[in-house]
Amino acid sequence: MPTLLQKALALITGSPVSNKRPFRKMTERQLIELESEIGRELFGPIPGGHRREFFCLDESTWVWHEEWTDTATGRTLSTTTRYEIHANGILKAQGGTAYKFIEGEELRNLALAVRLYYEQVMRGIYKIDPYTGRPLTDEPPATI
Amino acid sequence: MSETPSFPLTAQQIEHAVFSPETQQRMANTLNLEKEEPTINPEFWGVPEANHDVAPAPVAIETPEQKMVEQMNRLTDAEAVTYIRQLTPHVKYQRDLALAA
Repeated sequence: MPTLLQKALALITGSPVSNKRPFRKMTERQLIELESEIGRELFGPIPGGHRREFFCLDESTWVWHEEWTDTATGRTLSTTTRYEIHANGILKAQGGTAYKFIEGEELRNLALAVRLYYEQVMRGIYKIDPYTGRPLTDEPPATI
Repeated sequence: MSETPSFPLTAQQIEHAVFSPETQQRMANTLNLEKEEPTINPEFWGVPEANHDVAPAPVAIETPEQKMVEQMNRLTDAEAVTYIRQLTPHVKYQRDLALAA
């Protein structure tokens, strides 16, 4: 329930007082889902009938999940790939059976995806400047 | 370079750690540019380097994203692993911070 002060401010400014703790009632899973909404868009348009998720699971794991319907059989197919950060490289685990350390283009693509994810999630969800770590303000950035 | 980041660590600090003077030198060599100072190349973030003596020559328009992709594509495998290893805990850290707020 809004406090008297909040009601007064809403009357003065014409809008409700912004919630400064927007994540207070969210679970980590819900936050990951929010992040994944950004993550899934990093790789371009998602083909029709596909579902894609890309998110940071924890401090050492990235998950890429792809789900689609096989037009021939009508069955739902999916593939889940985990990229695990180890001391000696990034281990790709796909389907629970295939494991390999990624290298070259795939590794650089992942690094780029991680960077884009970080920058867009920090700005879009946590309202943090990814370069300074400071909260974003409504003021436009300084220009020359 | 420390393998374990101590938090809070800003993205700027990560960039400084990953894009070391040696990396900058290698990038400059790749681009056939003359090496000046062992500092972060300001163009990395799309910030034009100030030159008060000569008017800049017209260049093809490049979006910051294109530049970023080019820069990232120049990373060696070891640098890419370091980059991912250092940036990933940041996401989790910020998420935990938001949940605890």
